Amino acid sequence: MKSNNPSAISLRGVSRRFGQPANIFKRAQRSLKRLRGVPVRNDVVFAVNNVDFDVMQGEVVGLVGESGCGKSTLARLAAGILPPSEGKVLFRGTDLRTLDRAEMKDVKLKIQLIFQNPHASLNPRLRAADIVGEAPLCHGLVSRADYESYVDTQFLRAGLDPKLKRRYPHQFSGGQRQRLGIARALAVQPEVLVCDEAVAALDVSIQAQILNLFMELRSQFSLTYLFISHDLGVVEHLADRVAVMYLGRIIEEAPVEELFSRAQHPYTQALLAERPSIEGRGRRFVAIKGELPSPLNPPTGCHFHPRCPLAMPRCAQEAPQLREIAPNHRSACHLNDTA
Amino acid sequence: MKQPVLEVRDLKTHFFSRAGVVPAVDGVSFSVNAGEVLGLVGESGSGKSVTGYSIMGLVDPPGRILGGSVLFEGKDITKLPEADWRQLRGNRIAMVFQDPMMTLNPVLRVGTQMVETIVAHKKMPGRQAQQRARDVLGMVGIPSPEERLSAYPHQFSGGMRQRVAIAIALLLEPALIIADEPTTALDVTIQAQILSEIQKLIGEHGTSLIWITHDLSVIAGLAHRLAVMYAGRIVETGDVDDVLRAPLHPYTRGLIGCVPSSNRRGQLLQQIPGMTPNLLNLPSGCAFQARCSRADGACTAPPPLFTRASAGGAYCFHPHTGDGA
Repeated sequence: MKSNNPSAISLRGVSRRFGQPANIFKRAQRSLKRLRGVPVRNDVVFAVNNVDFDVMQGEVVGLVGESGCGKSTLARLAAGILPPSEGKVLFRGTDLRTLDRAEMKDVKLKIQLIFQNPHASLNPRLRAADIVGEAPLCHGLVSRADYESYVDTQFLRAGLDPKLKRRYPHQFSGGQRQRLGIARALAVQPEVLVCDEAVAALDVSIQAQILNLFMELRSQFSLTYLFISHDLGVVEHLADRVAVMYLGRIIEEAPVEELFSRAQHPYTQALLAERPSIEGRGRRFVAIKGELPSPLNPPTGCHFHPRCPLAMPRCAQEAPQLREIAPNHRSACHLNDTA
Repeated sequence: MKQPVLEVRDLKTHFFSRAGVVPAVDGVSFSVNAGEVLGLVGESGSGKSVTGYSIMGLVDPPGRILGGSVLFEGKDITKLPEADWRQLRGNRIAMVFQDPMMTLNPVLRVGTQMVETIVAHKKMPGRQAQQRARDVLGMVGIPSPEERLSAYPHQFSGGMRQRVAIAIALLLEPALIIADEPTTALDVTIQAQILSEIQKLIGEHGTSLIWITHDLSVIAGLAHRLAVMYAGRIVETGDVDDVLRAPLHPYTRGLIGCVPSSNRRGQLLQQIPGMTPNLLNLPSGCAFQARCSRADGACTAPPPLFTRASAGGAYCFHPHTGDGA
């Protein structure tokens, strides 16, 4: 971990709740129930729950977890496009809430998102050149006169042939479309790229091409990445530091070698043990029991305790705190206290 | 030697689309022995799913099986009348699909769907069929199977739904199960659960399995033999160990190099340049030549089979034969 670098994005005690806006009928029903003394359950999901998290400048941070654990919500919070319900998000040390509209716009330009599905995240009615060039033109990063050559440069950066720029998204293959998404993100000169499952929808051979492109761009433009993936192999290959999420909380965080060789949290250990790998031939698959519980009704205490092979009575009552167990290695587990 | 459960010989399934003839499966041959797991690996559009559908007799127009034969327990099943097919499908050969949301009927209880499958093939009193359904549901690791029989598919999670689909495939103890990317849509932990169940079940019942996937790392732990497909043809076959340790075909070698692996952290991945060719417009000879670093003029002719000493081989003019290149 490059701890001497200043922080690019920091999350401090950030939570994000999602609840259904109650209509008048539902509200009346609820107050009736309350009057009769019937317990009312609030349909509120804590997608992200009290998370402290930093991405340092020039660092690649991997974020892993199962579907429904809040990875994508965290990505949107970090990118500043979703306001937190509690806590604060800082970009280079400034709280995003203290910024006015113009400043907020600058921050949003500095943090760009790349999405999983390149079919859904490109406007099908715009030509490729306009998809890439629209934002820089709007934000005054390029003049009308330089527009064409600017777009060409962006195409080349992402490994696309500028000759294709008059085409529409559907005329590109999956890998090319993902490159188009990358070109669009890079066109506004960002400092941070938040990649939300950016290679999950691609074939292996195309995935390798895109991963290589990410690494080349990183060294060329000293970019910072928050790389979200459920694929541990991809994260291990790319990231400097990895954070593991489970049901809205970060449960372990460590430099990549440390995490993959000395994972401490039972959930991380299980994830690593279950990872199918090309080296593990003819092995028996051992499975962790159960599945991700519903975030509407999470287990008490440590969220992982119903599935944990090492659970103690204490785990059901008290949520463990994320704390440092080795230099730069943080973990949230009661076993840290006993060991 | 024992007769293989399934033998596919020179299978050709083409799609007659408006834009032209798409040779989705073009001369594929392989066999599966009893109790064996065959991994069928390829990228999207390589024809691996269509191969599975062709074996199951599920190719719809504009697709058509043009030639070749599929011998199941010694009988050619490509020319069976539909009535005979119905006897076979679900009973002796079963299939598990990628997306369990699409393959279960959303308006029928899971128990109804399972009993329906049994009764369609076996004369069995309802109660006994119910019993069998419950047993199999328990076998695939669904807790309290008795109650879950009366649940609807939407009340199950993705992993549980895939277990139900696997349970339905196992109901009548088929000789062969074709699994088409059954864990691709699932999380790692759930994938590991399904893989461990599958491994246990086929071990117990001696069922043969064709596991179709694009994920080499899943296959590495599960399969005995491997067949790699590219643009409608099999380019390499062999024992899993041999193929992954010493791939002969440049494409197989490229695929393995593409998998991010711990021992190459931080370095650039070896990548295969270009992309999968358009099936409407394949080059003559080897379909991989445009992306291959070893290709030369010879590759425009149909590539010969280079056999491996142990088993299998690769269709290539310039195989990687331990010369270090």
